[in-house]
Amino acid sequence: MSTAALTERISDLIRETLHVVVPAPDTDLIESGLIDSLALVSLITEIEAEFKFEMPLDDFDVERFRSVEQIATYVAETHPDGSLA
Amino acid sequence: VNAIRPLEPADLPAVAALYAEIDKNDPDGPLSGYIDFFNRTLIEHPLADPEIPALVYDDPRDGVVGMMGSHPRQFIHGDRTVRLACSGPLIVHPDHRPRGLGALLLRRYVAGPQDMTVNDRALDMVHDMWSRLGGVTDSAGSMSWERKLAPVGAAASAFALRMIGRERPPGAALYAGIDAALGRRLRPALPSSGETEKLTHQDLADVIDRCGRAFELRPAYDAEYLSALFGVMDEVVLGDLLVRRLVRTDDGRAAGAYVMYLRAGGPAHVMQVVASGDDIGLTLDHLFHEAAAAGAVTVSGRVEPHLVSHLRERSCRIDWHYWSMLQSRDPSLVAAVLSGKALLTRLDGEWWMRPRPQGSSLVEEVQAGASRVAAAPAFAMTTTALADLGV
Repeated sequence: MSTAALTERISDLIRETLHVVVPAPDTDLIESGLIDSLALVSLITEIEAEFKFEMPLDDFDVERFRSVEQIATYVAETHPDGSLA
Repeated sequence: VNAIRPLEPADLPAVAALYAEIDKNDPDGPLSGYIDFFNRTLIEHPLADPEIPALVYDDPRDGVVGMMGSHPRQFIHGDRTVRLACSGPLIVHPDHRPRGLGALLLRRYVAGPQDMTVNDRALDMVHDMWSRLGGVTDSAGSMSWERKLAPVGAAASAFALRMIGRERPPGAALYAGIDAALGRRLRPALPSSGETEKLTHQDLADVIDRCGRAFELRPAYDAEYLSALFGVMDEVVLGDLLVRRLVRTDDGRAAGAYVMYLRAGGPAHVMQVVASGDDIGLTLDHLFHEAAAAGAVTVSGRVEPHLVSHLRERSCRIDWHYWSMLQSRDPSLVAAVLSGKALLTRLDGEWWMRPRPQGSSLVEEVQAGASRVAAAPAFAMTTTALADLGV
């Protein structure tokens, strides 16, 4: 899956799960108030299910979840073997 | 460096400062009381479990900005001992709440090695987070029962709580006088049988051992645990007095036990009622009588299935309260609670826990039926303030 496709899939996931339309891939989701604690939990759960991996519990870096772009980069890095079909 | 890690003793000043910041009753109060409370309940507690520690969020720039308390409990499920983890408090510095740190702390905590995670004081947003993380709602435990003992005083107490955040209203003696004149019929009479005496740690362990056998899941108390538990409870400012009673039948048999916080002119909060069969009614009757005799205006507690029919017979009202949440990888544990086959009470939860800054020590000073109360507490954490324990 290309970075652009991954970004689009995550945007779709946010829209479907949180009913939030993200204006742009680099929009700061936290600063803009688009996601809160509850939304973050939901998003983590959905991304884990969608991309079939578990995010770390202790050193989860919330800063890497600030935008769709960053989330896409993070997800891509967790699948370096290109297993995101 | 992991952002989420176990709470260490060196973190206590930062955690105390964090708590003080959200404690609107005494935001500038001394921190030593908070430090002592968290040290005793989260670090030096006899049931503290290094595998189920309290957690902090250690921000690389601002240090400790969030904490999830942990209160491990030993329970018996069938013929095995299981570890329950009662979570709370969950506190996050206001500046860091938008980052979702509370959610990350909760996510990390419920993934621990405990057999079941419980919480009995979840606000709406925390309830929603639990649900998203696979937790289930203990519906009965999310409700409370209440019996009015003095209607005028009860109305004044409810109004005072809403308006000034205090359970005992100014002029409580006046309302008590009106209730005494008008409300005699509401005041529970001294039960026609049985008597009460001070409940020792061994008494409670024995009653739980005997009555608890009717439950699939029940607490595994021992004297050391109960000594530490009541040592902390004695200093909590939820009421003026922590009352612990053993109820005996006329022939001297131990029928049941109860634990409650009492406040003359305010509510009595029941933490635990343990009895079985017809002894439940007898135990409740003595509890109600003692609460009324000590000047409480209402008596209330968490809805527990084994009490329901007896509460109904005694004209108790049911209402919603904080959310009670459960999560376990073992469905039989959750089923035991949801089906009413667990003896899981406020005594084993976080509901009553209120740290306080340094102040007067409070000890049980009344004998059964006495109405004298201890000095006014340094402060009382209220539900208004609790609502600000945001995440």
